Amino acid sequence: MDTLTLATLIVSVGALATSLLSIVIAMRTRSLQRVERSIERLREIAGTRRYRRMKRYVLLRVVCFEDVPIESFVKELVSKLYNCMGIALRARCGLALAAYRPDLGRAILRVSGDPQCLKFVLLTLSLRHFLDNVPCIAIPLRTSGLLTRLRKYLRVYR
Amino acid sequence: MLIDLFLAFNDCSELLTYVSKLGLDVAGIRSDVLELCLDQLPQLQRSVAIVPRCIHESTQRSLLPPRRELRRCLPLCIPSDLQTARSLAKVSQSVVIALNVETLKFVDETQVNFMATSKVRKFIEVLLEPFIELARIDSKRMSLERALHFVGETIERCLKLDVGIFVSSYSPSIKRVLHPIHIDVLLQSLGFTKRERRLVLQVYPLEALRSWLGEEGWIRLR
Repeated sequence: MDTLTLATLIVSVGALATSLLSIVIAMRTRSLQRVERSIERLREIAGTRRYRRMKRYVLLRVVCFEDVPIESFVKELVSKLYNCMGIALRARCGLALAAYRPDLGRAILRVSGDPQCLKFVLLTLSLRHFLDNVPCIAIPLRTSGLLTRLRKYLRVYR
Repeated sequence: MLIDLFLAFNDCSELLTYVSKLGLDVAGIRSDVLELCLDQLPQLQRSVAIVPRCIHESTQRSLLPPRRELRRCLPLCIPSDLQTARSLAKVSQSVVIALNVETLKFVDETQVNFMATSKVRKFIEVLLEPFIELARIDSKRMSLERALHFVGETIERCLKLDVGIFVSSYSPSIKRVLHPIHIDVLLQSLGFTKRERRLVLQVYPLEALRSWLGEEGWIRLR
């Protein structure tokens, strides 16, 4: 047997081993996926929570027309938002007024709950004044996960 | 940059309050209301570009606004029927076609396909306030969700084919105003990315303005 034939034999054996290995890996991956799926099903049956509860802070700019005091509007903002969101979203999303400065017309709102909550709250903030006829609008300016990042916009440096 | 190319205010003081308190950079208002505001506009503390707008009800008999109106204001053509909408898509002139609750049936994805084949740049302007009004009234014909779905489909088609589209609030009063940030949030909830939203809210409106000011289609009329 010459050297060339030996080299060819070694390469072909190597290729065969690699293909066998890849088949084994693929089968293992599939079985892992199956295991994951069955865990998902068990979770559904048990009814455990799959989402992470998140918390976000939204910086708002509040502008009132027709001499409506900003302070009273901001204090009632959370209840107004809850009214617009409805009971279904209220069960999933928590709202609280974290801080406000009526002289600057700014406020910080805390949103907690499902990750989709922030999207719904921002949408409610944008369309609220169409429903409750209060001549004040709240414009979301920034969103952050840290209150300290937004507090500088209220000029609170503590 | 905050741009709202059509505010349907009837009162000049509302425009001044809105621009000064909420800080728009470009605001469009009906030309007849703007004429009443000319004395009060210098009171504004900040520089704002005010664009005179006019509405033209397009029919087969009068498809486009008269020339003198084109020079005076940026016209918005509201097609009365399907045939008129398709004709507007084919004219050899830049036009802004309105997409509101009435024209939703025929200013759709097919209309966008027609507009994409045109050699001259054309624009669709979404008038958002009439859609939001659907949330207040119980309409059996159209729900807000359905209307916004169709608007989203049309915007998506426009972005895909690079047909100019922009969204204006068309707010009739300051109490029911939609700030550009509110429109941005609404577009985000419809699933548009940040880049797409910048296109709809900043790039295409400025392109329509540039086009009206004489760089593309309207220059032929001068």
